[in-house]
Amino acid sequence: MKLFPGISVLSSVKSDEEWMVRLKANQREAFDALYEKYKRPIMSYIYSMTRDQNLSEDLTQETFLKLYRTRESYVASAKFSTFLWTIAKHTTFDHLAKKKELLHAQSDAFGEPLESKDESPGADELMIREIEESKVRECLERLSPRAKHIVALRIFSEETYSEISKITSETEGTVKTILHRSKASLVECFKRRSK
Amino acid sequence: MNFYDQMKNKLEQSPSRNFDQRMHALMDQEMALPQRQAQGLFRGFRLLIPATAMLALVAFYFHSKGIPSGLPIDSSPESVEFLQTYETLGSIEEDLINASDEEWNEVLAEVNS
Repeated sequence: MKLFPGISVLSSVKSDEEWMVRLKANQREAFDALYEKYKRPIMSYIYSMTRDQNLSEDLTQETFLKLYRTRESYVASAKFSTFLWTIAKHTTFDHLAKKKELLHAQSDAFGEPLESKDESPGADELMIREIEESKVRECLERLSPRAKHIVALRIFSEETYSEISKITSETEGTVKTILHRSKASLVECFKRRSK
Repeated sequence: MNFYDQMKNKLEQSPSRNFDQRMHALMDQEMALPQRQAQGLFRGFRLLIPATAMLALVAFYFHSKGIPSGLPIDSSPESVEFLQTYETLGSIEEDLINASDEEWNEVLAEVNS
């Protein structure tokens, strides 16, 4: 059953930014198109930060409501996905801060010692494919909150380093370093779990 | 497929069955909100207009009656007497304003006698 029958086949032709301009004009179809495209990655990102299915659904809905409520503040020249991911980040962090679950780990970016050297990407990918989901999640959990957040954004938003740095208010260099070191930690963790 | 795409495949979550319906309902409510606010405002104006008209009518009534504020306006004998005196004084005052010098002198002579 199609829940949003208003979305036509032509939806895919429009860019996110064009939809956002239409949403500013209060067009429901625009909201539905953006929601359909981003609901899963946003929810997956929030789930990776909260590990709670119901909560991640609530916060995802809150994110999209905020998108609608703040539509007037969107500048047409800005990248839409950065705007949306920033709302998702604030919604998640506000909730975690209220629950005091957000750890300030500026100096401790990584939960595991770095032991591995750079290996061929093909080998890493093969390893992830073979490992169970729960173990992949365990390894992600071992990263510090700061690193986990940046890795989760990289995984689900598929944004560039530059856009991630805007969303997280980190420098681009810091984002690159954290991602590079987190990947090494994750690979090492996967290796241990797959044995 | 790169490292992060592989992780995405493993970790991506699916929303529960009624998630879309709930979002849909929330948005219906949200988009109806400005309309409801506008309706509330209109309802407020609808009440304000007759209230203002009523006040204007009352003000016009008292204005046309020529009753100065603070004077008794009930139907008691004292009020009726007072109003009659007021009207008499009013007519005398009007006569004096329009009176000529000769008439004035006559009035003054009457008063002094």
